[in-house]
Amino acid sequence: MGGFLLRKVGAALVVLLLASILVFLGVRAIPGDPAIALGAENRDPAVLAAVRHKYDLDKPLPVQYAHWIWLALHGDLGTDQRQLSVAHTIVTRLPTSLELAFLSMLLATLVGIPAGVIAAVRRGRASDYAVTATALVGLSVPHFWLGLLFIVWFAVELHWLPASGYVSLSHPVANLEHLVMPSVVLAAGLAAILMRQMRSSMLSTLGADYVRTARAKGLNERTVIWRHAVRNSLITVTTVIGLQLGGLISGVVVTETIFGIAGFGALTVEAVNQRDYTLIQGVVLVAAAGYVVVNLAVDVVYSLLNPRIRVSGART
Amino acid sequence: MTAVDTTVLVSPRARRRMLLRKRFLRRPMAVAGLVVVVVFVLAAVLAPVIAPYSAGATDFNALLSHSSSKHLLGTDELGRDELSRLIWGARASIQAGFFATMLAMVVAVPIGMIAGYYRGWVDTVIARVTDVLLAFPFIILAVGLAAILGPSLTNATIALGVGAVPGLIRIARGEALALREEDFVPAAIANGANDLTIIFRHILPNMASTLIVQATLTIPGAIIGEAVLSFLGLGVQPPTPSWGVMLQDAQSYLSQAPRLAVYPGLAIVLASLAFNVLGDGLRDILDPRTTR
Amino acid sequence: MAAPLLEVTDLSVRFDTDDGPVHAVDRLSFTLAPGEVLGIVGESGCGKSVTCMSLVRLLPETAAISGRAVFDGTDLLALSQRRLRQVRGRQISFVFQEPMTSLNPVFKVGRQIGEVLTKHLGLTRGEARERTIELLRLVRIPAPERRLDEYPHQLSGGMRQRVMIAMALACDPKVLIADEPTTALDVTIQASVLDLLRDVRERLGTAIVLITHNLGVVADIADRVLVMYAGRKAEEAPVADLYTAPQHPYTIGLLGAIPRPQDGEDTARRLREIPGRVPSLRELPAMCAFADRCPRADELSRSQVPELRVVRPEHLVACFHPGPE
Repeated sequence: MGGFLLRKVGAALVVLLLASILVFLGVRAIPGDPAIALGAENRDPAVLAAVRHKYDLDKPLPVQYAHWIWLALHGDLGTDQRQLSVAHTIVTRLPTSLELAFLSMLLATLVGIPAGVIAAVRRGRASDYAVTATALVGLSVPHFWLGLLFIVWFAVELHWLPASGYVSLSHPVANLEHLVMPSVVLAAGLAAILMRQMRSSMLSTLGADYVRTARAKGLNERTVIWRHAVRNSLITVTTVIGLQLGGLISGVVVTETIFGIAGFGALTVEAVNQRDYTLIQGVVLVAAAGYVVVNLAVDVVYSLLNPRIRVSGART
Repeated sequence: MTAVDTTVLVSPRARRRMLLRKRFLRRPMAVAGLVVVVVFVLAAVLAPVIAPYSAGATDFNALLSHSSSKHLLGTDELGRDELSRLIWGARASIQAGFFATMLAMVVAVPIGMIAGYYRGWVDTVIARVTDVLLAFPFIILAVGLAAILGPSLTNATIALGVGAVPGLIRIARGEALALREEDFVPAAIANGANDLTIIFRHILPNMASTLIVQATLTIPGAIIGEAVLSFLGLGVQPPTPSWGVMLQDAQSYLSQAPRLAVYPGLAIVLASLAFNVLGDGLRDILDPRTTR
Repeated sequence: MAAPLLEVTDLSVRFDTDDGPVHAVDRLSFTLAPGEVLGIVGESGCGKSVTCMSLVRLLPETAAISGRAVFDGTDLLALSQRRLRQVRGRQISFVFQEPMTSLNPVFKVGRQIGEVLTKHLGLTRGEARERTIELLRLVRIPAPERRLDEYPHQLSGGMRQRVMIAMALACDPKVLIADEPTTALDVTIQASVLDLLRDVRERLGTAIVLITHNLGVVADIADRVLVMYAGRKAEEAPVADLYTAPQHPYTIGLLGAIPRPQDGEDTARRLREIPGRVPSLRELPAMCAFADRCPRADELSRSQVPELRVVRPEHLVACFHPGPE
């Protein structure tokens, strides 16, 4: 396991490095004077000079990059158009998105995985068709449309839930009220994918020899399915979850926009709409870094679940 | 007394095609998917011909009106015919779907094949590059592209295409990895073929069916993606219609005219469902293990 | 003669597939005495595995099973699923061919064995662990206390198969059904596993049904042998008799196909094959199933199904023209 994780960490670091270079080059690729872009459109010559100095814009690119990444690693991501620290803005808005993402993941897993198991076990029967059809619809419905529909039904028509906004965790009930619709919306697509993956993985696991052995041992069917088969299928599904994290980030951006939640995702959109290049740069960097880190976490979970990775191979 | 076997007179390729068609027709869902896909593609291509009104034609006497004989699906907040805008919007969405997918395939397939065929350090390098691409979910990519080049349908399409590349690389790589172990590879080498020939004339045709299926299944993601980006203002710019733009407009009128949010969404759902169902059906019939 | 432990009468198994029925087993009958080793021999697809799996209904739902299988006084084929599960692993257990895939890769070996003990014998975790160590010692696995906590992928093929045997013996079953237990193993390991099975029979008195296509393996440890062909019984005899005086042309063919080093003699002797192929199991032919490949076939063999007849003491054949070469 040590070797496996070490390799994954190494790869992650390489990816982070390359990603940061991409972001760096991206900002430099904006047409026009980078000093204006990085100085949040302020054209005052004194400010421009200060910006040029701060980012070493007169020096060759690799030096600029080194300086920039050095600053970033120390938490300095620059100042945005409103003269606020980018790093500070991001840090304040991030927890909201994290809560939303976490709730959605939880929901998607709690619904998607058991549904997939049931569909596989009752293959070909009514419950299988129901689950598969639901999953298909879930995959085809854009979550932001679902969000709009939810707002129409539950907020406008029925007045059950608030249409937008966010309340911090210090008021748990209100917090949940505001997050119910967004997390359900976000969870829908993910649950659909998990359902399909779990079903397909279970279908192959249920045909495996060790399942036959489990039955031959006289274990009851429920044990065979939920202990022997599911445990194996979870391993493949974990990799799928890792792949879907990118989609989750995209989903968070859109969902926060629709539901008026002031989180990291909405910040991304605001940044673009305001052409705030420093903010954009900071947001993209943090998003990429976060993605790499979370993927690493998924790899850790995977290695814990899979004994072939966790414990080294055969002794004769 | 045995019947005359007429299948002997048909070439193997034609026989395979007949078999595939038979299997396809036995799956009503896949057929339905194909029909709907064709309808949408025709709508997109023939928009100038079949749309009752042009995309921007306003009628200030009929703002936010319900369906009538003049406007089958009603009008929006500027009096524009909803049905026409839906048809015109199909253009942007289907276009984005197809071109993003094609872009992704053209880039991803060769790279994936090379990674799977050569393995070793080539594979490792490509894997890292793919990881870097994955670190930028398509929205972030679109955000970046919009920042540098300004938002437009083209840029959105590029962002969507790039977003689909990592997944397709992985699939192409997996197929190449498996196919290089097949017997026809050493046979071709013995016949003097070089690597390029083997990859493109032997391995590629063998993964064609998998690629077709994957392409069909990538399109709905691109369609939804375009809608998302246009909705956020990063793709098609208003007043040009696209289903995403229409949803953005509808958002401000949710309480007065919720149906304006329903129609474009339904169009998106139908289009992606159709492609998904078609793709699933194609995958079933092309898999040698299915018996029906 | 003691009362048979297992008495199978007219067992038939039919699979209903999309392309029509497949008759895997056709009216098979046999008995198994307590502590006896019965070898079931035949080529792939002759129905030997299906026969045994049908006894405890380990077959997929498309299988239609008919007949009777009386085990210790009860008809297994008429038992409910719940009662059947009490038989599986407890009275009748299985060892399968592929030890790598037959053991669950994500659970430790000790836990997989312990499962049977807690389920059937109600042992606590501690008791199960003790008993598991005993079992591992019984199947001659060195350092059992450490092996307990290892995963299947950490063990060699031969050791995995021993673990399977230990798992099968955990509840001291009356019958152990070993389906091609040595086929996936190296030749040297094969011998030691067979040794082990022999040991088990002697020490524990377990009856063993050994399914294999390898006549050499059967000669080693079986008391009686049953030869199957195309889902039907072709011949049944005590092992020595089968080898010295085979009666059915198929058995003779099988024995002739064993490569044997001849010292001195005709070293250029060709391996004798049986020409032709196994018939399709989609129909139940109303004739001898072996007729198309048999050098002795005639009008009679092609028009009627041969019934089992006693041709020598305790030696049955289903053939119209039994007898030595």
